[in-house]
Amino acid sequence: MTGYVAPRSVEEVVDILTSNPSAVVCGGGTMVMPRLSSQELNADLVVDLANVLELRRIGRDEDGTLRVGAAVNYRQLIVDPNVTDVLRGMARGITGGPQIQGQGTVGGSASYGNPASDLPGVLVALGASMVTEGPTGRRVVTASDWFLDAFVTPVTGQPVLLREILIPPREGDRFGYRKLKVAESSWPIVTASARIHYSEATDKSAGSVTIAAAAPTPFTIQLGSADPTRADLQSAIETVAPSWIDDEIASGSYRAKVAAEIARRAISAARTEAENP
Amino acid sequence: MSDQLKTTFELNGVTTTVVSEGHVPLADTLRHLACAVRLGCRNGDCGTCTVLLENQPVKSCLVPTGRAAGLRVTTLDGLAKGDELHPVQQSFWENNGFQCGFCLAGHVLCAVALLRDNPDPSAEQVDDFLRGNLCRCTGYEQIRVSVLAATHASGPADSPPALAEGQTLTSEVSSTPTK
Repeated sequence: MTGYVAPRSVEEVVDILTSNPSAVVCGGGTMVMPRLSSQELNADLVVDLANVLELRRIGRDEDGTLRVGAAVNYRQLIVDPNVTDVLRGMARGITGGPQIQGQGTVGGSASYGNPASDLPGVLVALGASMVTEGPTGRRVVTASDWFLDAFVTPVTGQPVLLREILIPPREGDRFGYRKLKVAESSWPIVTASARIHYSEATDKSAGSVTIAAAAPTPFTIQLGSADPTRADLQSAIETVAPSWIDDEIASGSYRAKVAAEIARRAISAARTEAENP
Repeated sequence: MSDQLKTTFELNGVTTTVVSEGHVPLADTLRHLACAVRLGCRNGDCGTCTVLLENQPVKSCLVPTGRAAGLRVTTLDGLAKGDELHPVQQSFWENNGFQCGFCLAGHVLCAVALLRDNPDPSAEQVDDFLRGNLCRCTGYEQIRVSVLAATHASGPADSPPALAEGQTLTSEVSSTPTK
């Protein structure tokens, strides 16, 4: 038998997870519910976050840090005026239509660590930090240290809840996000999140691009200029030598061939898009 | 803590109470209540199980039943007024907006939600709003035509009661069918 609770506070959720090792957290439901239905996942208790209102807030600190509650959904990212353009653009383009925009949550995606999700690479490129709450208290982990392996994050199998995601102010940096997928209903094959920084001192732009969905965890390459060629990007990616995902959507060698081009498009978007302040 | 979960919600205007296990998706609960909800992929991909939860389209295979507590749920059954089809249903009928009909409920409910918020959408906006719903018969063209034709005919999403006002349905969902 599987029970159900919908607690109202983060502390209650942590207490329940601590005393029920086989409880499962349900954020939006887009990841957990199919796994429960297929019995790939069995749980004694479903802990629904729908009533933890503090997890559904978006706010901005005085220093410009954007605070995104773990149960914020993609629709909120699209409509909230505090949200940066690259996050808004990513949220507009997720697979699954308006239903999933209203149902999928940023905390669910980050906690589950599906390499094919749109969110992980964007969080790494934005320099986000993840705030968790567990039996031993609060912890802050940078996004680049968060995604440990495919489907493995610091909350996996732990009585720990991702509470919120902190996104530091942009300080004039420009961002661009592009992805490749084979069909509207498909997961991405490769995503690229570019970040370009212009330095007045040197009158030069430099930056980085984070590539995800192509390897078990996102990886970042540094750019020597804001206008690298595809060959430049290809050799930078080869230096990282990622372990490419080889699955039914695309082979590892295909991902290795297309990653540089998607990275180039993301950089181009970061450089040119007018809506990207 | 009891494993049997009692959930009361407003189904097409009728207060409804169900008893289920905690992991049972709303889609199964609604099917148990004989609603016109189909299950395709159970994975959030196909969109055929779409219902309106507080007037927002959701894929009900992804919603734990308990989450519906106290909320308004609208299924295809809640759109028509007696024998009079909802304008969106009528438009799908007149414009051949379906063939086998398996995806129909999801498409119609999404179109109802779209037209409520955006009464005069462009073809691109229709395509964008319906991209969470798969159809393997029509090639989508007649679905788009149906939604655009319903643009000026569509009423509000507020659905009339399928049963008499105040009538209460009680049901028990004992298990989840698996794939």
